[in-house]
Amino acid sequence: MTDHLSFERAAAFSFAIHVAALLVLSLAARMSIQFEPEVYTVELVMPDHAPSPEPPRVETPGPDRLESTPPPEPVAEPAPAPEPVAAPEPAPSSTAMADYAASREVLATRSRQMAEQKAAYRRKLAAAEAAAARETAEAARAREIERLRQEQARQSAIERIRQEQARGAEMERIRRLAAEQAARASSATSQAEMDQARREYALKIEALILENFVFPETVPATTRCVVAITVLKDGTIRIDTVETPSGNRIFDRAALSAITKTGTVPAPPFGREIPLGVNFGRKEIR
Amino acid sequence: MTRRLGNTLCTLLALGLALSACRPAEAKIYIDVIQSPRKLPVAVLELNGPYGAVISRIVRSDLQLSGLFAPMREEAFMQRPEQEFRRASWAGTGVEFVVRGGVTAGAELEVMVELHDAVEGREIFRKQYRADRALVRPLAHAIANDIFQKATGRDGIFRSKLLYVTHEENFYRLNISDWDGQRPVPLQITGGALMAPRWAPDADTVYYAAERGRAWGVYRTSLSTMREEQVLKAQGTNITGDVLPDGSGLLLSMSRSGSPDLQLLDLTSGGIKRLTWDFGIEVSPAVAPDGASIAFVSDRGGTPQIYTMGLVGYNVKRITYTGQYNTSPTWSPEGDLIAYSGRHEGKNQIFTIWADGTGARMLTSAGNNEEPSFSPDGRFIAFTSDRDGHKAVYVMRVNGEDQRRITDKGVHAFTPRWSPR
Repeated sequence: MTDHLSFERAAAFSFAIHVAALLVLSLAARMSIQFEPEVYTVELVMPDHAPSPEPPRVETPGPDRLESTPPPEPVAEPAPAPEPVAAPEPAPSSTAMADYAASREVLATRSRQMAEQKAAYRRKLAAAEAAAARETAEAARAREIERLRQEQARQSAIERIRQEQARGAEMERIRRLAAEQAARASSATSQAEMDQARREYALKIEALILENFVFPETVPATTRCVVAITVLKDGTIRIDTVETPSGNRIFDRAALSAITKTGTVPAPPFGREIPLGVNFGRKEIR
Repeated sequence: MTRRLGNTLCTLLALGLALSACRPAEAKIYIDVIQSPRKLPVAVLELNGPYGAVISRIVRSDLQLSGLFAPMREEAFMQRPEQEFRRASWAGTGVEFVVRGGVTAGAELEVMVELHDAVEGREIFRKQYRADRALVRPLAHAIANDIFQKATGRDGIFRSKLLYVTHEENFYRLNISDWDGQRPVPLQITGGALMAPRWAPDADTVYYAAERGRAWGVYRTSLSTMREEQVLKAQGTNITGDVLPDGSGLLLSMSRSGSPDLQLLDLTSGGIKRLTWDFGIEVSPAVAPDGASIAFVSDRGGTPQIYTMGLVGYNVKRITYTGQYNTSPTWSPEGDLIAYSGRHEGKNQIFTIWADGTGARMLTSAGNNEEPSFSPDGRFIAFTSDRDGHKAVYVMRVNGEDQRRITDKGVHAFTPRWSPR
């Protein structure tokens, strides 16, 4: 029993040594590979319990826990398929003789295998990464291309819209010019209509003033006078001046009084004041 | 291409705008307000105080009778007589003038009268009148004259007089009245026959032909002194024609040589100058206001017609060709119109004709109408008419309107002559 224990201890020790050697090798290999960003953290635990299918626990004499910096655990491993790192095979049972050489052989083989595995993995990883990188680059390039295409499309769309707009503006301008032309053409007729309306309005004013024009028959038959007035927008009549006085005080007074009495008239058309010349005269009755 | 088109259009547009800016859009329109003369709407408020009502009524009547005013009815007045004149009260009534004032009766009447331009809101005049209570009518006529003058620009005739002859039993008498026939005064001037009274330019001296003691004489009397003197004593029938405008001579028709002829009596020297030498009858001489020509009646053409000629006796021209009997010519104060009496369908009517012989116009139609006489302003004609059964004095407007009798019914009156002022 004691032997068995001591063997076990020896085996464990040997295993620990191998592991350490492996670690040194892997470090060396790692150095040679120069694979950069990886950090491994390995937890070394005393094998108090029987070996379990749990991830490998290396029992080491010494403190309960120890963190070794060199063999780091992969942190944020970008690799797509991470394999259990340094997943040791279950230790050979006691069937295995305590053959150091054999063990060494086994260990060497294993470590070689592992190194190969690792190298393979690393290659794979590198390839994967390269592929990924390539993929990413390609994707980026594709995205860039896509972006450029979209940008181009957008630019061309903008350009199209701008052109559209420009054409629209041009069309609008032409339409406006045409409309203005038409308006001018129609304003030629509406000017005539306006003149007509103003003349008709003037006749109404004439009738209103005539009604208020009162002078006695002592005024000589040939008496005439002209008074300039303006019908303001609100229909108020403003007397501007007596353009041509009659020379007859009574007649001139009657003319001005006729306008004063007429007072406010209907507002002139188009909201525009109208200047009028009023010819006052005595009707011949001979 | 489009741009070039656009530029062209722009240029055209700018040109159009420039042209439209140059166009006189607000060209002045001339309207003709040609009106016939109309009566002036006037509001004569009753003067406050004693005699106020009487004076206002006379003023209103004068203005009404003048034919130039349309006095507003009192009930339509927009302010009470005692209120100060307010223009706003008369706006929209059409009233052109407002008369208001007051009377104080002391030893004599004191009347304050204001005349307002109701349209412009301006006081035209404010005047004080004084008169004895017995002269309330002349006072009112004086007020009316002033209103008339300010509103028409012409002198009023409301203080003018009418001279006419009345027939009383077996003699004739000269009378005088106001222009409206009021205040008739029978003068102490009578005769077995009394014809053709004529005013001297001084509006005080009157000339007339009277038969007294079977002798025709031409007399004159100053109305202010009532002193009569005979200016002509000659054989035959000598009828007054007209007094020259300067008062220096008297036109007559004298029959001392057989058939009546026109003569000019020099009132200073008493000398007589014969103006017509025709064998026919020449009567009724009337001198034009300018004193240069006369109108008269002659039958040298076979029937009595109106002729004109220079005062010195040549340039004779017949002016009436219508009717078989035209007499009694008289000149308007303006000298452009001659009124006369013409026979039309068996009756005598009043006509007017332009002094050049055109535009004869019959003004009367009822009864016989004779002996026309113009008012001093030429707007009225006084005449004799028997339309109411006997001869009476009537007045009408120069166009024949508004004919009315001014002498009392039953008074046989004729041969009116209107005073020169």
